[in-house]
Amino acid sequence: MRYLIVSIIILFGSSSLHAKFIPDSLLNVANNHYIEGKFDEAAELYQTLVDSGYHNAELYYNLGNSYFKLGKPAYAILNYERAHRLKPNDEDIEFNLEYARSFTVDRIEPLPVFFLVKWYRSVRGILSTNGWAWISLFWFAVALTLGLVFWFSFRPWTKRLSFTFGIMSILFAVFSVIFSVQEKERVMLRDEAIIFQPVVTVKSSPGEAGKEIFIIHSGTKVQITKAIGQWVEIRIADGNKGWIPSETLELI
Amino acid sequence: MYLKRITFALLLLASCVNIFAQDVEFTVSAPNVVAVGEQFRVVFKLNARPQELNPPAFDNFYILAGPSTSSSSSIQIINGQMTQTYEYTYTYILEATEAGKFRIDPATATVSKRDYKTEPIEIEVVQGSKPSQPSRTQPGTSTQPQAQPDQPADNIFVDIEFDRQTAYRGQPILATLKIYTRSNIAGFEDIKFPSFDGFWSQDVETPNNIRFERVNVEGRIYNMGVLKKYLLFPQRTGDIKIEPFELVVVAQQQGGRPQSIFDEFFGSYQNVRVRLASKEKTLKIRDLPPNAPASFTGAVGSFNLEAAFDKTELKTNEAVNLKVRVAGSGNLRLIETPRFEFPSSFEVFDPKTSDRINTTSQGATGSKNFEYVAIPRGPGSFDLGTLEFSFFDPIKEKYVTLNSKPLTLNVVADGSEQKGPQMVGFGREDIRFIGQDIRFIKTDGIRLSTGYPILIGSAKFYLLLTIILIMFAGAFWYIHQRRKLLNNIMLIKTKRAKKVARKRLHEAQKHLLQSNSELFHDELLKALWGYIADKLSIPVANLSSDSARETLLSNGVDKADAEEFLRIISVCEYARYAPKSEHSQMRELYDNAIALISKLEEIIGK
Repeated sequence: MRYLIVSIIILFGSSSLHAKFIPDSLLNVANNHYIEGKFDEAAELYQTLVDSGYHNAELYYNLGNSYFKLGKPAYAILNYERAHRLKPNDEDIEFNLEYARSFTVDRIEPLPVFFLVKWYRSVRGILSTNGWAWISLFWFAVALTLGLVFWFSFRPWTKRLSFTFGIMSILFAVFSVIFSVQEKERVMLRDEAIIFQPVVTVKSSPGEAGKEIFIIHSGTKVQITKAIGQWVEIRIADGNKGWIPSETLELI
Repeated sequence: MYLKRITFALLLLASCVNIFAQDVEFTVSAPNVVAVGEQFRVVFKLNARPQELNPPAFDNFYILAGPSTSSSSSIQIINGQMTQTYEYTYTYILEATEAGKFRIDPATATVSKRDYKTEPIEIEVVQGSKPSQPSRTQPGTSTQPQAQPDQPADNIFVDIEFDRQTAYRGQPILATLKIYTRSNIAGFEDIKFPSFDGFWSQDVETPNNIRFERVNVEGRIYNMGVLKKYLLFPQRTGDIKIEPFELVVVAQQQGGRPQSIFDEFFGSYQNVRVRLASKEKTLKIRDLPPNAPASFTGAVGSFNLEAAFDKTELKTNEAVNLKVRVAGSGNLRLIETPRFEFPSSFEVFDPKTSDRINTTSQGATGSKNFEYVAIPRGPGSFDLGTLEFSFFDPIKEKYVTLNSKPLTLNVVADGSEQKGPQMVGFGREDIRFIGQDIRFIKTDGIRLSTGYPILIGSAKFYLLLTIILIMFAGAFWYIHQRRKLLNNIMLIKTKRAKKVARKRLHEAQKHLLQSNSELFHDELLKALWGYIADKLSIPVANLSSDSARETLLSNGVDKADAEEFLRIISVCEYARYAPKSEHSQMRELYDNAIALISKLEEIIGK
């Protein structure tokens, strides 16, 4: 019944002039359900919003929370991962993702990441791809301005300063562009997935004939490296690879 | 002589008074089980001289002899105090004629006009043979040898008896180890008492000498003796097996050929070793009901509680004792210290525990004392509430919670400590995590969007880039054009410098002819400055004599010419405000200026 009302609201909302207003109020209703402890109704509403095309880190995060409270850690992890993908540096998302992961069966020791790489990633994650794009445009403009100053000034120190800062802003612009491109790739490239079946046997080759190598459980994050038909090659955090049927997982 | 007799009589009288002051005891003793046809004796004992004694009617028994009376008296003088004891015994020898349970009514004795009665006793008469008397017990009974001796193994057995078969955990069970015999027993060897696994066992004091008494076991009369008694406190629940206990009995068996004339006369006995084991038994131990109060620490039985401070008014840093006494019967030894919380400003030491417990066959009774020692570190009036103690009552089958009287303490400062800072350290502790959960949902500042277009690499991005580039290219072009224009103006000015100078000089010549000194010098100055400024593209405002000289020198003009230029300038400036100068001087200055400009034109005029 509630679902029906919601779909009517959505239908009505999309056709009305105040299309923006209705989803916001729906979000408020869902938040209130969550606060009152009606997690299943909250999850249903959040899921409706997601299904109708909205995707925000906060929306995924709230949906993940609702699923977690309903005792579905795999669903919660999927949504936290989606939120994390959109906002890589959000502390709450990271905390809840980490906490939800502690409810999964598989304890995989991830391959160590070099600390410089970690730093690089965290600096890159400060802004979204569009943020970096705008920043790159800004630095580009700054570099051009300094170039003009350099070109037309007569005083030697002005020339020297504008040259130094000009080169620096060109570097900034270039790095911003690189960050922006990499962030875009990270967001666009959907090569990670969450296992949804309780127990999945990983095989050495696609097809039923493959030898069974190891077993993973629901909630585990895998990276998809190849796909043949209904089978995908996955890599888990410790670097092990194998093939599983594609219906056992859900793309982040 | 006469006097002596009176004194003796008085002494006797006094002693009699003394005796009457004692309690008069009138008792009866008889075996409780006899066989039909067996002779036995009933003995009434009185520790005073009776005026009258009425024996009961022995209705169902046949009186073989009696009453035979015997009396004894003894006089003791200790520290000059004389005590005299009498003992009168009336003995009947009876014979049971038929089986059944018969009651012997009380006998009545009158001592100094007061009546005393014995307890009524019951005697069970069974069909069957009577056992041989154990030699160590009941010396009065006859020791006639049996006609046909039984085998000892049939005649002796051991058993463990329990006062209850089911109990709650912690409820004491009395276990009695008994030996039943129909033979004479010379001694015991190699006794193995059970270990009572699953119980906490305590010995109950029993007399060292085993006293046998007659009991009826399935129609046969046995002499029964108690070997040992234990009080068992169950520690586990469920059906617990009690392992059998074993011992070797040395029994005396009549029989064998007489070996000497004494044997024939006294009868011959033979010592036989018999190994005996009791049957294995099972006790059912129930767990306590689940709804135990918070203050329950395992006490089972029936108790009362007292708790009090040894003083209620005290100074800080002075020790105070809270004495808690739990008295009653039950598993006292297993009671744990009741919990009691002192306020945080008290330094609390571990409670001391002491107990005084008597273990009897009725159970363990006594008291257990707990002593809490606390030292208040801060003054104040403290209401410590009540001390709570709970136990399980196995008879009522419910938990009972006792509360002590309210405990209060009044602590006054002893003046040695400072108020405030000392107390800060108390009560502070690290945050304790009592649970873990995910963080709350995000409710603020969510702007729902159906995803945003990626900027980088899109047409919009390149468009923006191009716009920026075009803007800056435009700016570059504009500035460049401005610069070019400016340069052209300067070029023109340079080219026109000579012409302007000539015009000015011509003007000056006019003033010279009119001998207008002020205007002449003014015009000459303007001509010279204007020429320099235009020719060398220096703004007029920036011109001074120093900068002019520098500029001239840096443009390859001789030092002499530069000095000449400055000289003319200074003369002109001086003359401008001076009184009218001579015509010839003005003429000379004019010629000099023309000569200088011509010269400069040659050097920088390209």
